[in-house]
Amino acid sequence: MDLGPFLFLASLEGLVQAAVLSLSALGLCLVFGVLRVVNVAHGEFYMAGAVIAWAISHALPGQPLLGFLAALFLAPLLVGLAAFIADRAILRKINHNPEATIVATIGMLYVIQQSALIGFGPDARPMEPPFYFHVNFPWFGYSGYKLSVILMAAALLLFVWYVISRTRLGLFMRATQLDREMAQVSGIPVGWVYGLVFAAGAMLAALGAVLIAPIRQVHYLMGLDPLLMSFIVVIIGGLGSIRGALLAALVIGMCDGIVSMFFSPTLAKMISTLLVALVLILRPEGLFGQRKPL
Amino acid sequence: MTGSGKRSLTLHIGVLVLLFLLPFILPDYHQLVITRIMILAIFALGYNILFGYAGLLSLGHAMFFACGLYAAGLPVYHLGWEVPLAFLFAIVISALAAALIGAIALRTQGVAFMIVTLMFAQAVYLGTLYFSDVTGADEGLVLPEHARSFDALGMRVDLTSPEVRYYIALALLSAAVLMVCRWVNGGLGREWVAVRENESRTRMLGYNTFLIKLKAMVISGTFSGGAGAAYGLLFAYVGSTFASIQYSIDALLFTLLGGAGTVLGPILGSFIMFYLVDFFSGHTTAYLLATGVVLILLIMYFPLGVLGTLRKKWLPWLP
Amino acid sequence: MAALVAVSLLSAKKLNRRFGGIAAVKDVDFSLEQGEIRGIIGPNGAGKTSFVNLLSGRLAPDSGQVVFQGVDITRQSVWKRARLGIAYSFQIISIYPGLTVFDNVAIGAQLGMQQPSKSGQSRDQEPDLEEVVGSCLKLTGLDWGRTQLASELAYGHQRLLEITINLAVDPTLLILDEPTQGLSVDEIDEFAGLLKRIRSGRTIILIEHNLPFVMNLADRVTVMDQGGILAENDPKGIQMDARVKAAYLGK
Repeated sequence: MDLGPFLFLASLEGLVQAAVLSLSALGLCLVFGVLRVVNVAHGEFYMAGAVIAWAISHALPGQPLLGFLAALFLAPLLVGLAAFIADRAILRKINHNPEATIVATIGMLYVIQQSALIGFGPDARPMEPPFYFHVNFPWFGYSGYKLSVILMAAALLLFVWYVISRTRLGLFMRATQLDREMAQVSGIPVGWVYGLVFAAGAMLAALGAVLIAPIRQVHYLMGLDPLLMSFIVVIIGGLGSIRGALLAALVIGMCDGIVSMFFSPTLAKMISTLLVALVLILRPEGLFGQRKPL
Repeated sequence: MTGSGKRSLTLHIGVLVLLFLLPFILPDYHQLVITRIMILAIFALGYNILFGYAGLLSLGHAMFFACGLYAAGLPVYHLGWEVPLAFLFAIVISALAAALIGAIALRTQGVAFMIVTLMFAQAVYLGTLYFSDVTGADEGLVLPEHARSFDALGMRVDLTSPEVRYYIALALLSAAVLMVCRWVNGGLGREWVAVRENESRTRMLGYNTFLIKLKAMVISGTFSGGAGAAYGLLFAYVGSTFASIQYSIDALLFTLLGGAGTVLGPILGSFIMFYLVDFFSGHTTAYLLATGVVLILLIMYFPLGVLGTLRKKWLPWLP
Repeated sequence: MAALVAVSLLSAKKLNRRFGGIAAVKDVDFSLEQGEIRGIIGPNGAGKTSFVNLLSGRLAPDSGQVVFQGVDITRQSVWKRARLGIAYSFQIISIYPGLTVFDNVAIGAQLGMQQPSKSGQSRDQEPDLEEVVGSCLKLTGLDWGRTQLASELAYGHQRLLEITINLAVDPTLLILDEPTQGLSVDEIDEFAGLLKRIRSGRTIILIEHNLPFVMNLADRVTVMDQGGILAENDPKGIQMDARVKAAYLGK
């Protein structure tokens, strides 16, 4: 293949990557923005979403589209419920203290990951895509499902934007983020908002995972990579800034997709983790960091 | 020395004497396990200096452990160095690495510090995977025959003997405990605690708090690196696993469990956790589940750990 | 006669500091003599705390210069200034709540012992940490509570502890930001007694709202208003000053 079409293919791959990454990074970003805590178990909610999606589609053999739609609906719901309970039962008890929360979510990481190992087993398993068709470009054919992932992710992002900027819950979230105590005295049920945002963060990760599951295989350790990537995106994007995170997800997803086709993925990851550490040290507000919240 | 000082010294020496006597009564299997535990306890002791005393929560201490491991193991493997030389070299390299990483990472605080240390450690881990020609990556390297014994003080020290390994580990642990005791009961320990309790006040008083934290980082990193070097040399193996985030979390877990900010806490934590995991792994492949559950329960109900809770309730003299 | 001119311990020239659009400290010239107790008074928002923060280094000035014992310290960090002998006692109590009273003071004392004495008392031999802490605690009358946790002390005692920590470092210049705030009348009297006991060999800046307290203790009083210095005189002169009355009474 010539360089031009090759680059085009790489950008399409990057765009798929960026679409899923922006969902999971947005989840991490929301949680950090509103609760001011880092959820280290974020990647495991992602993995849980994929595992549940696999289980659902496995339970409906021969009906991949139905299975996929059911998973798209049920997996985030179940994951969100688990996250909500985790927040109310564990994080609320430690007052969402930032450092204690990191330790507690590391604990959750192991619990979820190891439960998946027990229930799902150590093997990577494929999930059937909901439909097969190829979009034919002049130089190569491309999976229609992958293209639809990009569209579905974009639609979901639009929906999240709507919730945050146009609904009562979104208003509560923004108020809680700006000033927790003021929100509390204004009658906003801050505890519930925390629980819901924590759940919403996990649901976004799970959604991303359901979309990617038919492309990649489902595995109990698959959460580590998106956790790291989401971290990178949220930090580069400016901690808690949604617009920054989305922009960063696009750039980093694309870069990662393209760079991985030219260089060793290990080297690419090594360099990007070091870059993130440097960004945190030199520009704590992030590269695209705006002081304006949300 | 005050009365409480004497009591605590007696306690620490008592624990070390107990460890000295254990091999005479325990079966061989436990001798090996406790050798490992003692080395990891040195790692946790080092971690505790930074976290328990200076109040800095690092999520990347595996990088120092791995740094010592590789700095000792690679020269032995590739260049045929003698064991004692490799150990000393590893100590020096770990101290330098900790100074460098500390000088950079200590520009951040709180959550940012946690993430920066995590990221650095991840980069080191990926590095050990990437340079697989040198490090052996996941499969690791088994150290050659010549590294299984060395001459010291006119004696031939045989590292394949379980007793010899046990007593080397104990000697290192004893040295580490005595050093930590000396520091934390002296001026340096008070400076660390001052930074942990109220950093801005400490700076206003006239302390260079950055330097105090850097000292904690270097000592902590050197202990961790020393533990890594000892682990690699005693068991003749180096590999990427030891650089993985799991080991950073273990150090945190041992320290939290035993009691952050107590000298013996990390040692006790290492023992409890090791035997707990040992027990679980006999029954299930998902033994890390225990790690997760213990972490959550600890942070929710016993943030002070076993010895921290004891100290608060009954034994205020415990260091 | 030149010999009679007192040595200036600390001086500030044309100090400026703005927050956003507001000038918190505006073109302040200030000079402090060795051994005096200087009161700084003024209405709320006059810039008193901002001004002493510029002296102690908690804030950096936008422009101007601070000289301490002949050394330009304008660009020096907080801890270096403290090493030179400038101690700041917090308006909001800042102690080590999780540590015992003894350890609180020992943190200051072990730093003080690393450097030559500033208050002029000679030291024949290296003093013992226990002794230094003990004598500091006796001086402020907290000796009874050395093994108590600082967080368990009553408010007034925490205030005293705050100052004991500073005294343990043995500073040349002690800046006290509203030390009597929240204290009872009896405690204020005791505190005045304490200041008289510790003033030998030291220079003290006292920011206060309690005017009788300042007028009783201070050798000179500086009045600040709207970021600038309105008047500076001995306490009697200040009490007579029409401009000061106007600023305080809003006339």
